[in-house]
Amino acid sequence: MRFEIKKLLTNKIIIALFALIITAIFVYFAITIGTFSKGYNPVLQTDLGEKYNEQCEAQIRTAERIKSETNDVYTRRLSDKIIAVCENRHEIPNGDNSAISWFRVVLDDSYISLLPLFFCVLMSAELFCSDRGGVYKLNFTSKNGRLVLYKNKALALVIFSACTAVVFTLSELAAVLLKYKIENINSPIQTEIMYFNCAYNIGFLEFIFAIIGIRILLCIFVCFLTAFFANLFGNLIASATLSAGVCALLLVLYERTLANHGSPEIAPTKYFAHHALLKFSPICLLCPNGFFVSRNYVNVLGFPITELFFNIAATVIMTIILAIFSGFLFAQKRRAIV
Amino acid sequence: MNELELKNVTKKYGQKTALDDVSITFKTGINALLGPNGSGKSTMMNIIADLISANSGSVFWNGTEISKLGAAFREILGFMPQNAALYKRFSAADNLRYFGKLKGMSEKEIEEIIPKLLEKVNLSDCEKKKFGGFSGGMKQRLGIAVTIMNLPKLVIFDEPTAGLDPKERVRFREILFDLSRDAVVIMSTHIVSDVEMLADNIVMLKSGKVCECGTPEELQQKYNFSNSENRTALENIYMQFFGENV
Repeated sequence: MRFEIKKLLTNKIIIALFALIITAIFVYFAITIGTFSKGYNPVLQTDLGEKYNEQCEAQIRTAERIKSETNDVYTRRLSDKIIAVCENRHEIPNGDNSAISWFRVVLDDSYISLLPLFFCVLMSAELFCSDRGGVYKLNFTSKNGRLVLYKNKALALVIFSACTAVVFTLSELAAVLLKYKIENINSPIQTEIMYFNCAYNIGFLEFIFAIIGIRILLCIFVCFLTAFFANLFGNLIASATLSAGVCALLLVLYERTLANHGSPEIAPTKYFAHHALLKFSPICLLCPNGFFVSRNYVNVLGFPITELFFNIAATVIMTIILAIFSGFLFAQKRRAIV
Repeated sequence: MNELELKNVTKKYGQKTALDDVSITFKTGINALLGPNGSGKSTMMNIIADLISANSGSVFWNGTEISKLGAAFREILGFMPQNAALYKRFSAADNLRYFGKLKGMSEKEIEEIIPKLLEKVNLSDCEKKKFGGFSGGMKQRLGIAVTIMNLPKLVIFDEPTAGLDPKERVRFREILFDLSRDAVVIMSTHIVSDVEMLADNIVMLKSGKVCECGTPEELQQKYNFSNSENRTALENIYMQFFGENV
């Protein structure tokens, strides 16, 4: 595996591109933070905690009423879940929550977030397509040159994906912290008003780790998607273009269904398309705000599962399937050798 | 004594038949494949090396079909393709380490064999030099080192002496002689003089079929050719099959 990592690290183009993307993201956000719209009306800091408590109490009352009026198992479980989240809420401290707010805004910038994803695509295409040339015969006729080699490449990709996701997210955070300090690193994320209805009572530090974990999974998915195309077509440009195209298309679909999705009465098609994408489209993990601003659950065998966990499970399954098919294609003999 | 047998092997690419019902046995020693471009030499070597599948027929190694042997077959295989390309950004030693790991060798075995291999192919001074900076002959020599590093029992060379100067070709012959003591060596080349010097067995291919097979002495006796003014006996036989009549 260390040789697969060395192949990527000694590729000056790949390293230069990585440095360029991360620098560009940091500089872009460092310059533009403060000029984005925060998307809500300003609320006095001292009123934030009071407003949040009122909202939670109202939700508890609504959930208890629904629970008492229904015999449906799923609805009762969903009500219990909402009550539990609201009752176990953390107190929102007084203080400046600008860092959390602006980090939320930065997470929303989906098209900039595509850049590290395109880097993962290129990295995966390079790792699989560069061996299709002269070294293919040497690799394929070696004892460990088929599935064992594929596993080493896959592991190298996982490591690089994780590094990309970590560095990318930290560079965004660094751009925010350049202008705004965090007074309490573990302030509940509900100190950002858009996260009032978040299904998780987590602090900001836990939120950062969650974002990093989610993006690591997405980068790994994209790498194996590219590996699948690379092993299918054996061509760097074709596989990178297809993979990048799939990601871009899914993101455009998500963005176009985002507006007016709040109610099935106003825009039913967009509403259902948007939530289908939130459940099944891995690209939604790129800008995960959609999972934290609203409390949406999926009925899985009578149990309410948050859309985020459902999407994570779906992405993991898709990634495993892609990894298996890629490995199968990688170890297959060609029909002809040039 | 090791033995590689092809039984009724046929390979087609669309309408073109690259190998046509070929049955042949290669034994321990140096076996040379002779034939013009498009005769099926590379196809035969690719099928033996399990790079591609034949349309029909089987390949047996010491009586067992190679498709059933899997990784065990590749463990005893050394394959050097034409214009062996290694990793340009790796040094000579790193290329050997990488392919040594791929061939299933332990780190200790690899580190022990690297200096011996580099000395054998006269690249001791280039251990840390990047492969991308090698000349054509140096690349070929490192390719040979990679091919033989796992002490294979079946070695396939495709045009191994292309790009080597006479001194290096003599050195390569010595490597081949060492290998052939207990390995089946199959070599494809256009340099007939190399075949005359080295081969224990010559296989001549034409249009996907084996048109002749035997030791150099047997072929000379059979066709009653000797060295002429500007051709060796084997070159005369070669021209008989693939060129104008003598």
